[in-house]
Amino acid sequence: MNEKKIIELKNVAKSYDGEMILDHISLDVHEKEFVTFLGPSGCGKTTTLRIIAGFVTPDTGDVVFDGTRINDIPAYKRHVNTVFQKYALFPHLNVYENIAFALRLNKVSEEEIFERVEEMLAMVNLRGFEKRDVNLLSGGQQQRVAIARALINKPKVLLLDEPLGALDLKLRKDMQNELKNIQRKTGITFIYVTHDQEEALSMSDTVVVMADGKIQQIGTPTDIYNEPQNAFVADFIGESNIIDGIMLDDYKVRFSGHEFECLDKGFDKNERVDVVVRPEDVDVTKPGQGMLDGVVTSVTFKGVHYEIIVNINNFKWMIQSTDYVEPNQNIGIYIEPDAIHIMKRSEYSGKFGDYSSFSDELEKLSDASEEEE
Amino acid sequence: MKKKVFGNIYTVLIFLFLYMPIAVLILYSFNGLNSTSEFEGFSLKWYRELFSDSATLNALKNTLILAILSAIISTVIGTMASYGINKMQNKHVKSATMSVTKIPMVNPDIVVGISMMLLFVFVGGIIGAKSNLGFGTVLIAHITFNLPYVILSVLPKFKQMDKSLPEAAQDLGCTPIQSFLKVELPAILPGVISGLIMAFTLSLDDFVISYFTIGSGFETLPIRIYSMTKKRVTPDMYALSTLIFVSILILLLVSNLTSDKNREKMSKKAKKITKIVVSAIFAVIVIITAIVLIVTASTETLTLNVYNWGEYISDGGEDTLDVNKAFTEYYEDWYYKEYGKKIKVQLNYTTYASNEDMYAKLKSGATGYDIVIPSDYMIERLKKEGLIQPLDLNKIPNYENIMEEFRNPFYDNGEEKYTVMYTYGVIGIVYNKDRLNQEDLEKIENGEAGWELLWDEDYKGQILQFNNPRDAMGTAMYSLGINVNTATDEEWQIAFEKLREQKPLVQSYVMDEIFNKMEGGEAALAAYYAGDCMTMSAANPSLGFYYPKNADGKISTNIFADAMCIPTAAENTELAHAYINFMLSEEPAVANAEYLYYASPNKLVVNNEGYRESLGEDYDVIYDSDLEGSLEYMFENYAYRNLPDEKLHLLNSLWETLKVDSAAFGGGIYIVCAVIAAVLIAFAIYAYIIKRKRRKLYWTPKAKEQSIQKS
Repeated sequence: MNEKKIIELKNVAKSYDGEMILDHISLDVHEKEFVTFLGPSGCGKTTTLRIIAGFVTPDTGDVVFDGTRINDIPAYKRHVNTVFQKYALFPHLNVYENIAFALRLNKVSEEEIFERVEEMLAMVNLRGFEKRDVNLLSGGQQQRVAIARALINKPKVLLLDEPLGALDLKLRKDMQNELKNIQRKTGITFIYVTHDQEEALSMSDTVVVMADGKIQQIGTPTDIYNEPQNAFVADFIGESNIIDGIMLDDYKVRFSGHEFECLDKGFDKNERVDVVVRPEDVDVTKPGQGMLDGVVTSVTFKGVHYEIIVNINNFKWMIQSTDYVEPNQNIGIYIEPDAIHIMKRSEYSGKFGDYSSFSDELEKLSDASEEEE
Repeated sequence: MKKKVFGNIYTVLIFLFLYMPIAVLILYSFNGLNSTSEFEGFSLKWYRELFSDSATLNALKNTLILAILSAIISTVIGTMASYGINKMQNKHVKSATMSVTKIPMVNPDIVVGISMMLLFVFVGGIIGAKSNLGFGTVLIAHITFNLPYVILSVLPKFKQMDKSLPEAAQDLGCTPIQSFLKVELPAILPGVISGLIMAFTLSLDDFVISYFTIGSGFETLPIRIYSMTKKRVTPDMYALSTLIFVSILILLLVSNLTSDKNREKMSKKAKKITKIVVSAIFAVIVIITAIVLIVTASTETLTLNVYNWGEYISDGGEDTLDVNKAFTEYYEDWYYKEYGKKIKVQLNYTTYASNEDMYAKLKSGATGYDIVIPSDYMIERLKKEGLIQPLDLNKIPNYENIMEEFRNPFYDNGEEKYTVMYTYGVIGIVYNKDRLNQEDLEKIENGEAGWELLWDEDYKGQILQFNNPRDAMGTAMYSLGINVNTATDEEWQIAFEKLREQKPLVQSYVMDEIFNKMEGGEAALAAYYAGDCMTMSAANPSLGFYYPKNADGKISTNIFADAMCIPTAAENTELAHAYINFMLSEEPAVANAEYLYYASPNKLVVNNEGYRESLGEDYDVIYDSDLEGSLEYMFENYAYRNLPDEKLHLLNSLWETLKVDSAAFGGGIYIVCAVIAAVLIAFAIYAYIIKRKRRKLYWTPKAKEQSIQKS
């Protein structure tokens, strides 16, 4: 990533009604990069996006665009454009006029408007839709119009606020590819906000994982997945078994009453650590033949694999395996050294990575009853 | 199947009750005859009449200008207010603002009207304005009551609008103002238009608030129609109401066509047509207003504000002379000859239904009336309170046309003259020959009938009585031989008992309704003003009319005179004097006398051959020489005088007692109301209990656990 920095956030903080939404974050975005802000709702990712767009003024800190501080420049003068979550198409204008909106404001000649709108329509595969009423388009089509409208001004940075959130799964996958293609073709910097980790991993050059108004980790998708920096990131990105462990020595860790070899070093002797084991990295063996033994409590068929919950020393592990096992069956498990990832303990330690209460339905039920009361 | 039948019955009933009256109205607007009972041939007569009635057209013009201005201004303010309310962050402030906005909608019109009038008079007093009420005040009032409706129609559109729309606009380079004009306004436009239309119709329709806040010289259509009811609603009002109904209907259809739902359904062509129609309608309205404004603004204008009883002047209907129009033409000509300068006389003719209404208006600070025409006892009161000014008889040379005996009436017999008599008349009794028995008919013919017929058990439920305290009490007092002006408290009480005794016989207490009831043959007997009695018997040949006599054979009834005066606060006394003078000249005076059927004090009228001929036998009835003694004697003894305040209080409280007593429902209505209230409360309690029971079932912790386990 040798490109020039296009956006820099320096120690930016924002709070509403005394509640800290953004807790002094700093971040660089480079030219032609596809950056994703990933995190659960309320983590501050949308606020960060709106600060860059100019709809929110930070309490402290600087927003730098292309080398100049733009804190006091209003949204309509910034060279960034936004694709809104619910598209925000202008309902009284048709497709053509929606896309031409920004050009008309700048008093561009009709011929040029026509050329550029047609170009945009071609790019988003909406040729022939010029005179359609935007209210009568499908979600995916509206999305394309919104993208075309935002890109027509050739902004340096395009901000996308959960743009695919309202689409169904199949359409979302197609649009992901399309967006990625558009980004490659135009070379415009994309800043993309989502809570969908899969979307983030598959599209981005850089992922910024956020939680509680703080940046938890910045890195490439592979880094984020393979080397999570804390229990939050490990749990939020994919599925993880996170177990309390003690680092006995370099390359040696003890958890679940067993000593394991691993590839990590540089911790203090006998330091308490969080151990991450991805469910797909655990092999199932006959009882006694693996490193740990346990009892299967539930098995769910997921298509590609079975999702098996195993009780090992009262800690419930999730294992993904293509082999079927019976519930209540005793099994053993085997873990390769390179499947073990050691993290320093953090404020999130102990909060994630245990599947003992794992049940989608139960979670929903308890949520509902809480709301009622 | 059953449901369908009920549904159909419901629809039929709805149409019957809601639209039958309008259908009848429209039908009778095309009636060739001035009758509510007969329909004779299709005719556009009333529409012609309507468009030759300058006063009504003027009121229509005023109403339209007021409605358009108030609708546009309130829409602009209301849209801005909605924008602000929608932006409010604090929920409590927001809901408080909304409540405050909604209060005027549920507040009774009467409260809004009175409070506004008070405020205007109060503020006017502080800033020392000469005239407190006028076009400005009624405009402010209309804007005020329109505002909540506009806000309630625009605000939901703001709420529905995607909140990111303005952000999207700014993101693409709009300044906040551009964003409002180019994106937000188009998005809320349907709400703005329906708010505009609603404000327009509300303003068009309003009577109560306008009535209180309107000044002199400005009359809206609803106020004009209402004041007409002093006598009766003429069929040209049916024509006007029909036109208004049709216009509103078109407006409604248009606003429905432009609503979102329909828009989606409509084809592009239909959309285009609607757009054109809507713009055309607005363009026509704007152009008409502009023309009216330009025409009225082009020449120097002298304004004369005349405040008179409803239907108390020859107005140009049915080939008669339009006296007011004739005056403006006459005066403009005269002015041009005299000063060589063209001017325009703007004569604003407004009307009232009773002396007391007029008095309240003058007293309230609605200054600026140049001419009022009240009755005798009210003139005494106005004089006493300094509300009218002495006339300069040098400016009224035609005063010599007033016959000697009418120059010193009891209410104006001082050195200085405050009034010039307009008409005089007596109260008589109108009867239906078909409903009276032979004996009584003979009695009437022999001139022996008196007031007692109004107390005759034979005509139970067929007698009509005045619906105003002074005249109703008068009938009792004249029949009892009590002096209407010097009665003691005991005598008032006796007269009241007499009315109470009559109450079971009375069909209803009426004023203007008498025309329809008598002409339609619904009632047998009624006491009413003689001129109107004659109008009624002209319309229905079965109706007759007599002056009631006492046992001694002497006529005993009220005589009244109405006279032209200039209020102290008049703004153009010069023109007012000219108007009075004009009214005394032969042509307009005769036209009025022919139109009104009341006696004229003008010798040019009494001696006019054409007038005598056109009245025929009625001439003798109107100028009846049978009246006991001279007119002076009659006025001295049989006219109402201004009562002292404590007597007025007594009169009003007795009247209220009588009216409350006579409520048709008696005590039954209270029982019915109580039963309905009890049933409603019982139902509410029952519904509450049922709801609680059901809740208990699924709210107990046990039930909750079970439901969780099940899933």
